[in-house]
Amino acid sequence: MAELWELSLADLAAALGAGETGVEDACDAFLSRAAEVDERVNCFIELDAAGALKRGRELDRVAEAERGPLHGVPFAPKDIFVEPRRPPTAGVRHMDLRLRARDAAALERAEGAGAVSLGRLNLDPWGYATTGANEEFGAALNPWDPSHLTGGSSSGAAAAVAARALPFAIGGDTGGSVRIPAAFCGVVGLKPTFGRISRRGSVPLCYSQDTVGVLARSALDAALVLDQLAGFDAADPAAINVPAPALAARVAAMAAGGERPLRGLRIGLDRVRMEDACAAETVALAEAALKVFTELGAGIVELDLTLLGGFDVAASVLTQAESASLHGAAFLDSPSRYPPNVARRLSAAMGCLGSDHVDALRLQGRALRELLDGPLATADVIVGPAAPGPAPRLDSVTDASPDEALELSLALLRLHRPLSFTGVPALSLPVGFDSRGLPVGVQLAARPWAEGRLLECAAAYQSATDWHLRAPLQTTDQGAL
Amino acid sequence: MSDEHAGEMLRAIAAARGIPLADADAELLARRAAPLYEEFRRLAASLCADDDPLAFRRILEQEGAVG
Repeated sequence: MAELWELSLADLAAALGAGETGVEDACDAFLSRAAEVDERVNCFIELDAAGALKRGRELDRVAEAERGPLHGVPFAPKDIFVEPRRPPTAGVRHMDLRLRARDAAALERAEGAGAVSLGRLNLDPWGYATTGANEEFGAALNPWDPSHLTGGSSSGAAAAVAARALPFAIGGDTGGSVRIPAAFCGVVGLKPTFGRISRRGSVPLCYSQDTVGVLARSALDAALVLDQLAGFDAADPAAINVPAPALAARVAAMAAGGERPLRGLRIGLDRVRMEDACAAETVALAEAALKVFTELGAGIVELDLTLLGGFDVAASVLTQAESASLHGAAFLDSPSRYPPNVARRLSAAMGCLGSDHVDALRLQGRALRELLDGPLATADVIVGPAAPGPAPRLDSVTDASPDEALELSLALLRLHRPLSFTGVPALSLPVGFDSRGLPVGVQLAARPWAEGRLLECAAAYQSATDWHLRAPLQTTDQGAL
Repeated sequence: MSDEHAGEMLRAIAAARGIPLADADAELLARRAAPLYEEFRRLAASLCADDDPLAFRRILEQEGAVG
């Protein structure tokens, strides 16, 4: 039998539901794996073994009829969510942003569905970079090759899920912070529609673009989590009252495979943009993925996505304006508290005018309308790159000048931020490995609230491929990593 | 706007807000930020007066109602 930590969320939930294993045992297995993985890749800021095992014992006493859909499933959040007796670090040792909320909706919902938190996950400082480098807590390292970056800012979340230390993780995505590390670490990363999952109790970065996202091994696992986290919360001013989806059954049907399950689906692609942005090997893997989609019945529609470049500029100004509101006073008081690449961005942000902020918000609505009336009227799903190439080496950031490190972040953001700006759902899907054995992903996007379409598409792809079943940091026969 | 004028403007804004900003730093910041803001001004110039900052949320709500 497979080790418990090798099971996917869906399989683990089934095993727990059937009484084949208990929650405490499942937590114990994942905690052991998480400790081993953490030693290698520094994905956790904190592991709470005692708390998780205690919760596991409590859940083992819950009557079968009262168990939630994620009963006993271990997880962990990026450390941006507040708990009643524990403020988040946001990736810095002295987090001094005050939060009014005393609990986080996403954690409440996950734990209310029966999931068990094993600890807190590493991230880029303040969630304001995309590499996974962190001088205060140490960089999270890529489990496929620890000399490479994880991407960020949900760095520990992607590394932990990829290395089978967790069946799923909860992250945050303002401009690609779930999708970028998911691509670099070879897991599914879902940024839902803006307003789909409550952000109550999370450390903000840009109010107009922040979302709570999900990282999991498969599209089906991500759907099982989204079903629990989604839903209106009047305490989150960004929440929009759209019925919560019930996607797991639909996505499970796709994951089970079938005869041309994507027939009729129009997949849009801007080949020129992709070839301009990406290394040849990444383009080749994306093209191979498109071939799988066509074999599954989808049709390819050629698109011109030049408009996304303008969206990126406006998204950048919007992020600057709102991050300056959050960090400006502290930054001016003590700039050295911020890492150099964050300081570069905050310096620029301090020159942002109030009228720039309003103009960026005015452009946000127009950009969404243009996307809906243009590319997303022609195609049901847009496919594009999730990164220019596989994860760069860690020293490309640690040994780089602040400007070079910032440029790397910006190159990644350009592929993701336009979709964050328009609020549409987007998903990072692993589609293979480069010649060095590093994962490569593509990004799928669809109309607002169409997470189901993205997850179905990804599940159909995963029914025909096995990239998502491959895992790094395998144990030897002697049980060592 | 030239780097020199952008630097002057930044110095003026910084002085008004009580932010210490050396001449050289103001011009460096202006040079770094200039390409982004030049492109942003071009985008903003294309806005119509009734492009409302609240439209984004309204469109999302409408899309949610359509299902």
